Amino acid sequence: MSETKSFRNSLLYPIVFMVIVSFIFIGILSTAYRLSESRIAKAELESYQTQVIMLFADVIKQQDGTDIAEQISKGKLVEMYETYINDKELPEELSSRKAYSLMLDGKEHAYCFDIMGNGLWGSMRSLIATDTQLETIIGFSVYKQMETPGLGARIEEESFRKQFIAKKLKQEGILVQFRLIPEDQQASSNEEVRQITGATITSSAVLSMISSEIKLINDNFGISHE
Amino acid sequence: MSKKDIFLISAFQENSVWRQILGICSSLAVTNLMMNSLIMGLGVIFSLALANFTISLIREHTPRSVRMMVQTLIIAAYVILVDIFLKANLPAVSKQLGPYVGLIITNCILMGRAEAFAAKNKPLDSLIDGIGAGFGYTLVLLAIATVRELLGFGSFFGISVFGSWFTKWSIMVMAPSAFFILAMLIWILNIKYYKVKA
Repeated sequence: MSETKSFRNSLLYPIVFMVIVSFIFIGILSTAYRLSESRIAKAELESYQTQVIMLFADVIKQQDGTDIAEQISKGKLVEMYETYINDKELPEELSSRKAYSLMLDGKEHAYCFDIMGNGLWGSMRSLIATDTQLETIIGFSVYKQMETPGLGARIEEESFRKQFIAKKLKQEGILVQFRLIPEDQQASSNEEVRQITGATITSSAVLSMISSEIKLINDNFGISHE
Repeated sequence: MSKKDIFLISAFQENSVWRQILGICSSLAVTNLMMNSLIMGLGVIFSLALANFTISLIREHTPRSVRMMVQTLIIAAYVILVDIFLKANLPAVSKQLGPYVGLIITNCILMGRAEAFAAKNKPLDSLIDGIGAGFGYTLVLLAIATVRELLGFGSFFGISVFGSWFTKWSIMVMAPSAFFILAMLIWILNIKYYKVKA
Protein backbone atom coordinates (compact mmCIF):
# COMPACT_ATOMS: atom_id res chain seq x y z
CA MET A 1 0.00 0.00 0.00
CA SER A 2 2.71 2.40 0.99
CA GLU A 3 4.56 1.44 -2.16
CA THR A 4 1.64 2.44 -4.39
CA LYS A 5 1.29 5.62 -2.35
CA SER A 6 4.88 6.56 -2.96
CA PHE A 7 4.57 5.70 -6.65
CA ARG A 8 1.59 8.07 -6.93
CA ASN A 9 3.71 10.83 -5.46
CA SER A 10 6.68 10.14 -7.65
CA LEU A 11 7.60 12.18 -10.71
CA LEU A 12 7.07 9.18 -12.90
CA TYR A 13 3.39 8.74 -12.10
CA PRO A 14 2.00 11.68 -14.15
CA ILE A 15 4.08 10.55 -17.13
CA VAL A 16 2.93 6.94 -16.92
CA PHE A 17 -0.66 8.09 -16.41
CA MET A 18 -0.53 10.39 -19.42
CA VAL A 19 0.98 7.71 -21.64
CA ILE A 20 -1.69 5.18 -20.66
CA VAL A 21 -4.55 7.62 -21.20
CA SER A 22 -3.09 8.67 -24.56
CA PHE A 23 -2.77 5.07 -25.66
CA ILE A 24 -6.35 4.24 -24.75
CA PHE A 25 -7.84 7.22 -26.57
CA ILE A 26 -5.62 6.95 -29.62
CA GLY A 27 -6.67 3.30 -29.78
CA ILE A 28 -10.34 4.24 -29.68
CA LEU A 29 -9.89 6.91 -32.33
CA SER A 30 -7.90 4.82 -34.74
CA THR A 31 -10.41 1.98 -34.46
CA ALA A 32 -13.27 4.38 -35.14
CA TYR A 33 -11.42 5.87 -38.09
CA ARG A 34 -10.51 2.50 -39.59
CA LEU A 35 -14.13 1.37 -39.29
CA SER A 36 -15.49 4.35 -41.18
CA GLU A 37 -12.55 4.93 -43.54
CA SER A 38 -14.20 3.29 -46.53
CA ARG A 39 -17.43 5.22 -46.05
CA ILE A 40 -15.54 8.51 -45.81
CA ALA A 41 -13.61 7.68 -48.98
CA LYS A 42 -16.85 6.75 -50.75
CA ALA A 43 -18.54 10.00 -49.70
CA GLU A 44 -15.54 11.99 -50.90
CA LEU A 45 -15.45 10.20 -54.24
CA GLU A 46 -19.19 10.78 -54.72
CA SER A 47 -18.87 14.46 -53.96
CA TYR A 48 -15.91 14.73 -56.37
CA GLN A 49 -17.70 12.91 -59.19
CA THR A 50 -20.79 15.04 -58.64
CA GLN A 51 -18.70 18.18 -59.03
CA VAL A 52 -17.05 16.89 -62.21
CA ILE A 53 -20.28 15.92 -63.92
CA MET A 54 -22.18 18.99 -62.70
CA LEU A 55 -19.70 21.21 -64.56
CA PHE A 56 -21.06 19.67 -67.75
CA ALA A 57 -24.72 19.69 -66.66
CA ASP A 58 -25.73 22.54 -68.96
CA VAL A 59 -23.93 21.07 -71.98
CA ILE A 60 -25.45 17.63 -71.45
CA LYS A 61 -28.92 19.14 -71.07
CA GLN A 62 -28.52 21.07 -74.33
CA GLN A 63 -27.23 18.05 -76.22
CA ASP A 64 -29.52 15.23 -75.16
CA GLY A 65 -31.95 16.70 -72.65
CA THR A 66 -30.79 14.68 -69.64
CA ASP A 67 -31.17 16.57 -66.35
CA ILE A 68 -28.04 15.53 -64.47
CA ALA A 69 -29.01 17.14 -61.15
CA GLU A 70 -32.32 15.28 -61.20
CA GLN A 71 -30.64 11.96 -62.04
CA ILE A 72 -28.13 12.42 -59.21
CA SER A 73 -30.94 13.14 -56.75
CA LYS A 74 -32.46 9.82 -57.86
CA GLY A 75 -29.21 8.11 -56.85
CA LYS A 76 -27.95 7.51 -60.39
CA LEU A 77 -24.60 9.27 -59.99
CA VAL A 78 -22.43 6.24 -60.81
CA GLU A 79 -24.52 5.40 -63.87
CA MET A 80 -24.42 8.99 -65.15
CA TYR A 81 -20.72 9.31 -64.46
CA GLU A 82 -19.93 6.11 -66.35
CA THR A 83 -22.10 7.16 -69.30
CA TYR A 84 -20.68 10.61 -69.79
CA ILE A 85 -17.23 10.87 -68.23
CA ASN A 86 -14.01 9.22 -69.38
CA ASP A 87 -10.64 9.41 -67.69
CA LYS A 88 -7.95 10.93 -69.87
CA GLU A 89 -4.25 10.17 -69.88
CA LEU A 90 -1.96 13.07 -69.13
CA PRO A 91 1.69 13.53 -70.16
CA GLU A 92 4.39 13.44 -67.50
CA GLU A 93 4.65 17.24 -67.31
CA LEU A 94 1.12 17.31 -65.93
CA SER A 95 1.58 14.61 -63.31
CA SER A 96 -0.51 14.85 -60.11
CA ARG A 97 -3.22 16.57 -62.12
CA LYS A 98 -6.12 14.74 -63.67
CA ALA A 99 -8.21 15.14 -66.77
CA TYR A 100 -11.60 13.88 -67.84
CA SER A 101 -13.48 14.10 -71.09
CA LEU A 102 -17.19 14.50 -71.63
CA MET A 103 -18.40 11.82 -74.05
CA LEU A 104 -21.48 12.49 -76.16
CA ASP A 105 -22.43 10.10 -78.97
CA GLY A 106 -19.08 8.37 -78.63
CA LYS A 107 -17.13 11.58 -79.25
CA GLU A 108 -15.15 13.80 -76.92
CA HIS A 109 -17.20 16.92 -76.46
CA ALA A 110 -15.34 18.80 -73.74
CA TYR A 111 -12.59 18.40 -71.14
CA CYS A 112 -12.39 18.84 -67.42
CA PHE A 113 -9.02 19.41 -65.75
CA ASP A 114 -8.25 18.90 -62.10
CA ILE A 115 -5.81 21.72 -61.41
CA MET A 116 -3.94 23.05 -58.38
CA GLY A 117 -2.63 26.30 -57.02
CA ASN A 118 -1.65 28.08 -53.83
CA GLY A 119 -4.15 30.14 -51.86
CA LEU A 120 -3.61 32.37 -48.87
CA TRP A 121 -3.38 29.64 -46.21
CA GLY A 122 -2.61 26.55 -48.21
CA SER A 123 -2.90 24.78 -51.49
CA MET A 124 -6.18 24.54 -53.34
CA ARG A 125 -7.55 22.15 -55.92
CA SER A 126 -10.16 22.97 -58.45
CA LEU A 127 -11.88 21.72 -61.56
CA ILE A 128 -12.04 23.66 -64.78
CA ALA A 129 -14.07 22.47 -67.75
CA THR A 130 -13.26 23.71 -71.24
CA ASP A 131 -14.13 22.92 -74.83
CA THR A 132 -11.82 20.54 -76.68
CA GLN A 133 -9.90 23.45 -78.23
CA LEU A 134 -9.15 24.87 -74.77
CA GLU A 135 -10.73 28.13 -75.88
CA THR A 136 -13.80 28.65 -73.70
CA ILE A 137 -14.49 27.86 -70.05
CA ILE A 138 -17.57 25.69 -69.59
CA GLY A 139 -17.48 25.46 -65.83
CA PHE A 140 -15.29 26.12 -62.82
CA SER A 141 -15.37 24.90 -59.24
CA VAL A 142 -13.07 24.68 -56.25
CA TYR A 143 -13.22 21.41 -54.36
CA LYS A 144 -10.44 21.73 -51.84
CA GLN A 145 -9.23 24.92 -50.20
CA MET A 146 -8.13 26.23 -46.81
CA GLU A 147 -9.08 29.89 -47.26
CA THR A 148 -10.62 32.10 -44.57
CA PRO A 149 -14.19 30.93 -43.88
CA GLY A 150 -16.68 33.61 -44.91
CA LEU A 151 -14.11 35.53 -46.96
CA GLY A 152 -11.70 33.65 -49.21
CA ALA A 153 -13.70 30.45 -48.83
CA ARG A 154 -16.44 32.13 -50.84
CA ILE A 155 -14.55 31.15 -54.02
CA GLU A 156 -16.60 27.95 -53.68
CA GLU A 157 -19.83 29.89 -54.01
CA GLU A 158 -21.86 30.01 -57.17
CA SER A 159 -21.76 33.80 -57.51
CA PHE A 160 -17.99 33.68 -57.82
CA ARG A 161 -17.46 30.55 -59.88
CA LYS A 162 -20.37 30.99 -62.32
CA GLN A 163 -18.85 34.18 -63.69
CA PHE A 164 -16.14 32.13 -65.39
CA ILE A 165 -18.64 30.32 -67.58
CA ALA A 166 -18.32 31.26 -71.29
CA LYS A 167 -15.16 33.29 -70.70
CA LYS A 168 -12.58 32.92 -73.46
CA LEU A 169 -9.25 31.38 -72.44
CA LYS A 170 -7.64 32.17 -75.77
CA GLN A 171 -8.18 35.06 -78.08
CA GLU A 172 -6.61 34.78 -81.53
CA GLY A 173 -4.48 31.94 -80.24
CA ILE A 174 -3.03 33.93 -77.33
CA LEU A 175 -3.85 32.99 -73.73
CA VAL A 176 -6.00 35.59 -72.00
CA GLN A 177 -4.74 37.18 -68.76
CA PHE A 178 -7.68 37.76 -66.42
CA ARG A 179 -7.76 40.68 -63.99
CA LEU A 180 -9.85 41.58 -60.95
CA ILE A 181 -12.51 44.25 -60.65
CA PRO A 182 -14.45 45.23 -57.47
CA GLU A 183 -17.18 42.84 -56.41
CA ASP A 184 -20.09 45.21 -57.01
CA GLN A 185 -19.11 46.08 -60.58
CA GLN A 186 -20.26 44.28 -63.67
CA ALA A 187 -17.62 42.73 -65.90
CA SER A 188 -17.57 44.73 -69.11
CA SER A 189 -15.02 42.63 -70.97
CA ASN A 190 -13.82 39.04 -71.20
CA GLU A 191 -10.76 39.63 -69.01
CA GLU A 192 -12.59 41.11 -66.03
CA VAL A 193 -13.41 38.91 -63.05
CA ARG A 194 -15.32 40.19 -60.03
CA GLN A 195 -13.16 39.66 -56.94
CA ILE A 196 -14.35 38.83 -53.45
CA THR A 197 -14.32 41.82 -51.15
CA GLY A 198 -11.94 41.23 -48.25
CA ALA A 199 -10.22 38.36 -50.01
CA THR A 200 -8.00 40.01 -52.59
CA ILE A 201 -5.15 37.55 -52.14
CA THR A 202 -7.41 34.53 -52.55
CA SER A 203 -9.14 36.08 -55.58
CA SER A 204 -5.86 36.77 -57.34
CA ALA A 205 -4.58 33.33 -56.31
CA VAL A 206 -7.49 31.81 -58.23
CA LEU A 207 -6.66 33.86 -61.31
CA SER A 208 -2.96 32.99 -61.21
CA MET A 209 -3.84 29.33 -60.70
CA ILE A 210 -6.05 29.38 -63.77
CA SER A 211 -3.55 31.20 -65.96
CA SER A 212 -0.50 29.15 -64.98
CA GLU A 213 -2.31 25.82 -65.14
CA ILE A 214 -4.02 26.58 -68.44
CA LYS A 215 -0.66 27.61 -69.88
CA LEU A 216 0.87 24.32 -68.69
CA ILE A 217 -2.01 22.31 -70.13
CA ASN A 218 -1.95 24.26 -73.37
CA ASP A 219 1.78 23.62 -73.77
CA ASN A 220 1.77 19.94 -72.86
CA PHE A 221 -1.63 18.47 -73.49
CA GLY A 222 -2.26 17.40 -77.04
CA ILE A 223 -5.08 19.70 -78.08
CA SER A 224 -6.37 18.54 -81.42
CA HIS A 225 -6.53 21.39 -83.87
CA GLU A 226 -8.98 20.05 -86.35
CA MET B 1 -28.55 18.32 -5.08
CA SER B 2 -30.97 16.18 -7.09
CA LYS B 3 -30.21 15.06 -10.66
CA LYS B 4 -32.99 17.29 -11.92
CA ASP B 5 -31.52 20.33 -10.18
CA ILE B 6 -28.10 19.64 -11.68
CA PHE B 7 -29.65 19.61 -15.15
CA LEU B 8 -31.77 22.72 -14.61
CA ILE B 9 -28.95 24.73 -13.10
CA SER B 10 -26.43 23.97 -15.84
CA ALA B 11 -28.98 24.33 -18.64
CA PHE B 12 -30.83 27.45 -17.51
CA GLN B 13 -29.87 29.22 -14.27
CA GLU B 14 -26.15 29.04 -14.93
CA ASN B 15 -26.41 28.69 -18.71
CA SER B 16 -22.95 28.67 -20.27
CA VAL B 17 -23.77 31.15 -23.02
CA TRP B 18 -26.07 33.77 -21.59
CA ARG B 19 -24.86 33.57 -17.99
CA GLN B 20 -21.18 32.74 -18.30
CA ILE B 21 -20.64 34.16 -21.81
CA LEU B 22 -18.74 31.07 -22.97
CA GLY B 23 -18.81 29.45 -26.40
CA ILE B 24 -19.60 32.74 -28.12
CA CYS B 25 -17.37 32.10 -31.14
CA SER B 26 -19.33 29.12 -32.36
CA SER B 27 -22.66 30.77 -31.45
CA LEU B 28 -21.77 33.41 -34.01
CA ALA B 29 -20.30 31.11 -36.62
CA VAL B 30 -22.74 28.27 -37.14
CA THR B 31 -26.13 29.86 -36.46
CA ASN B 32 -27.08 30.92 -39.99
CA LEU B 33 -29.12 27.75 -40.54
CA MET B 34 -31.26 25.77 -38.09
CA MET B 35 -29.92 22.43 -39.32
CA ASN B 36 -26.27 23.44 -38.77
CA SER B 37 -27.09 24.72 -35.30
CA LEU B 38 -28.96 21.58 -34.33
CA ILE B 39 -26.16 19.28 -35.46
CA MET B 40 -23.52 21.46 -33.84
CA GLY B 41 -25.60 21.41 -30.63
CA LEU B 42 -25.95 17.64 -30.71
CA GLY B 43 -22.20 17.33 -31.29
CA VAL B 44 -21.51 19.49 -28.26
CA ILE B 45 -24.02 17.62 -26.06
CA PHE B 46 -22.46 14.29 -27.03
CA SER B 47 -18.83 15.26 -26.52
CA LEU B 48 -19.50 17.39 -23.45
CA ALA B 49 -21.53 14.74 -21.65
CA LEU B 50 -19.14 11.90 -22.38
CA ALA B 51 -16.03 13.97 -21.73
CA ASN B 52 -17.49 15.05 -18.39
CA PHE B 53 -18.35 11.46 -17.55
CA THR B 54 -14.89 10.14 -18.42
CA ILE B 55 -13.04 12.95 -16.69
CA SER B 56 -15.08 12.39 -13.55
CA LEU B 57 -14.53 8.64 -13.73
CA ILE B 58 -10.76 8.96 -13.56
CA ARG B 59 -10.67 12.12 -11.43
CA GLU B 60 -9.28 10.39 -8.34
CA HIS B 61 -6.40 8.85 -10.29
CA THR B 62 -5.56 11.94 -12.33
CA PRO B 63 -2.42 13.67 -11.05
CA ARG B 64 -3.10 17.38 -10.54
CA SER B 65 -0.06 18.40 -12.53
CA VAL B 66 -1.31 16.89 -15.78
CA ARG B 67 -5.07 17.13 -15.26
CA MET B 68 -5.61 19.80 -17.92
CA MET B 69 -3.68 17.82 -20.49
CA VAL B 70 -5.77 14.78 -19.68
CA GLN B 71 -9.00 16.79 -19.93
CA THR B 72 -8.03 18.26 -23.30
CA LEU B 73 -7.05 14.85 -24.60
CA ILE B 74 -10.36 13.32 -23.57
CA ILE B 75 -12.40 16.21 -24.98
CA ALA B 76 -10.43 16.08 -28.25
CA ALA B 77 -10.99 12.34 -28.58
CA TYR B 78 -14.78 12.64 -28.31
CA VAL B 79 -14.89 15.61 -30.66
CA ILE B 80 -12.88 13.73 -33.29
CA LEU B 81 -15.32 10.84 -32.92
CA VAL B 82 -18.15 13.26 -33.76
CA ASP B 83 -16.14 14.56 -36.71
CA ILE B 84 -15.49 11.06 -38.06
CA PHE B 85 -19.17 10.18 -37.64
CA LEU B 86 -20.30 13.26 -39.56
CA LYS B 87 -17.77 12.73 -42.35
CA ALA B 88 -18.87 9.13 -42.80
CA ASN B 89 -22.62 9.56 -42.47
CA LEU B 90 -23.53 13.18 -43.16
CA PRO B 91 -20.84 14.43 -45.58
CA ALA B 92 -22.90 17.43 -46.73
CA VAL B 93 -23.39 18.70 -43.19
CA SER B 94 -19.78 17.96 -42.34
CA LYS B 95 -18.64 20.10 -45.27
CA GLN B 96 -20.93 22.95 -44.27
CA LEU B 97 -19.85 22.96 -40.65
CA GLY B 98 -16.28 22.78 -41.94
CA PRO B 99 -13.67 23.46 -39.29
CA TYR B 100 -16.22 24.29 -36.58
CA VAL B 101 -16.76 20.69 -35.49
CA GLY B 102 -13.05 20.30 -34.80
CA LEU B 103 -13.15 23.61 -32.99
CA ILE B 104 -15.55 22.18 -30.39
CA ILE B 105 -12.29 21.07 -28.74
CA THR B 106 -11.45 24.68 -27.99
CA ASN B 107 -15.00 25.57 -26.98
CA CYS B 108 -14.63 27.08 -23.52
CA ILE B 109 -17.82 25.41 -22.32
CA LEU B 110 -16.22 21.96 -22.43
CA MET B 111 -13.08 22.90 -20.55
CA GLY B 112 -15.17 25.04 -18.20
CA ARG B 113 -17.51 22.21 -17.24
CA ALA B 114 -14.61 19.76 -16.94
CA GLU B 115 -12.77 22.00 -14.48
CA ALA B 116 -15.76 23.40 -12.63
CA PHE B 117 -17.85 20.27 -12.34
CA ALA B 118 -16.50 16.96 -13.62
CA ALA B 119 -13.18 17.22 -11.77
CA LYS B 120 -15.00 17.41 -8.42
CA ASN B 121 -18.22 15.40 -8.82
CA LYS B 122 -19.47 11.86 -9.37
CA PRO B 123 -19.54 10.42 -12.93
CA LEU B 124 -23.33 10.26 -13.28
CA ASP B 125 -23.81 13.80 -11.94
CA SER B 126 -21.13 15.00 -14.36
CA LEU B 127 -22.86 13.28 -17.25
CA ILE B 128 -26.11 15.05 -16.39
CA ASP B 129 -24.30 18.35 -15.95
CA GLY B 130 -22.75 17.88 -19.39
CA ILE B 131 -26.08 17.12 -21.02
CA GLY B 132 -27.58 20.14 -19.28
CA ALA B 133 -24.85 22.56 -20.31
CA GLY B 134 -24.92 21.19 -23.87
CA PHE B 135 -28.69 21.51 -23.96
CA GLY B 136 -28.51 25.11 -22.78
CA TYR B 137 -25.94 25.86 -25.48
CA THR B 138 -28.05 24.20 -28.18
CA LEU B 139 -31.06 26.20 -27.04
CA VAL B 140 -29.18 29.47 -27.58
CA LEU B 141 -27.89 28.35 -30.99
CA LEU B 142 -31.41 27.42 -32.10
CA ALA B 143 -32.86 30.69 -30.80
CA ILE B 144 -30.31 32.73 -32.76
CA ALA B 145 -30.65 30.50 -35.82
CA THR B 146 -34.45 30.88 -35.84
CA VAL B 147 -34.14 34.64 -36.28
CA ARG B 148 -31.24 34.40 -38.72
CA GLU B 149 -32.71 31.73 -40.96
CA LEU B 150 -36.19 33.32 -41.01
CA LEU B 151 -34.93 36.76 -41.94
CA GLY B 152 -31.83 35.74 -43.89
CA PHE B 153 -33.27 32.93 -45.99
CA GLY B 154 -37.03 33.25 -45.39
CA SER B 155 -37.12 29.63 -44.29
CA PHE B 156 -37.25 27.42 -41.19
CA PHE B 157 -35.22 24.17 -41.20
CA GLY B 158 -34.92 24.64 -44.97
CA ILE B 159 -38.69 24.84 -45.49
CA SER B 160 -39.71 28.08 -47.13
CA VAL B 161 -41.92 30.10 -44.78
CA PHE B 162 -42.27 33.43 -46.52
CA GLY B 163 -43.12 33.44 -50.19
CA SER B 164 -41.08 34.90 -53.01
CA TRP B 165 -42.17 38.45 -52.08
CA PHE B 166 -39.86 38.37 -49.08
CA THR B 167 -36.67 40.41 -49.35
CA LYS B 168 -33.89 38.44 -47.70
CA TRP B 169 -31.77 40.33 -45.16
CA SER B 170 -28.26 39.55 -46.26
CA ILE B 171 -26.83 40.86 -42.95
CA MET B 172 -28.59 37.94 -41.24
CA VAL B 173 -26.64 35.44 -43.32
CA MET B 174 -23.37 36.95 -42.16
CA ALA B 175 -21.83 36.39 -38.74
CA PRO B 176 -22.15 39.98 -37.39
CA SER B 177 -25.94 39.66 -37.16
CA ALA B 178 -25.49 36.99 -34.50
CA PHE B 179 -23.68 39.57 -32.37
CA PHE B 180 -26.78 41.73 -32.22
CA ILE B 181 -29.21 38.88 -31.70
CA LEU B 182 -27.09 37.31 -28.96
CA ALA B 183 -26.66 40.67 -27.25
CA MET B 184 -30.41 41.27 -27.30
CA LEU B 185 -31.07 37.78 -25.99
CA ILE B 186 -28.69 38.30 -23.06
CA TRP B 187 -30.17 41.74 -22.42
CA ILE B 188 -33.75 40.46 -22.27
CA LEU B 189 -32.84 37.49 -20.05
CA ASN B 190 -30.84 39.68 -17.70
CA ILE B 191 -33.69 42.12 -17.23
CA LYS B 192 -36.46 39.56 -17.00
CA TYR B 193 -34.95 36.72 -15.03
CA TYR B 194 -31.85 37.95 -13.32
CA LYS B 195 -33.29 41.40 -12.52
CA VAL B 196 -30.07 43.10 -13.53
CA LYS B 197 -30.36 46.85 -13.44
CA ALA B 198 -28.53 49.09 -15.86
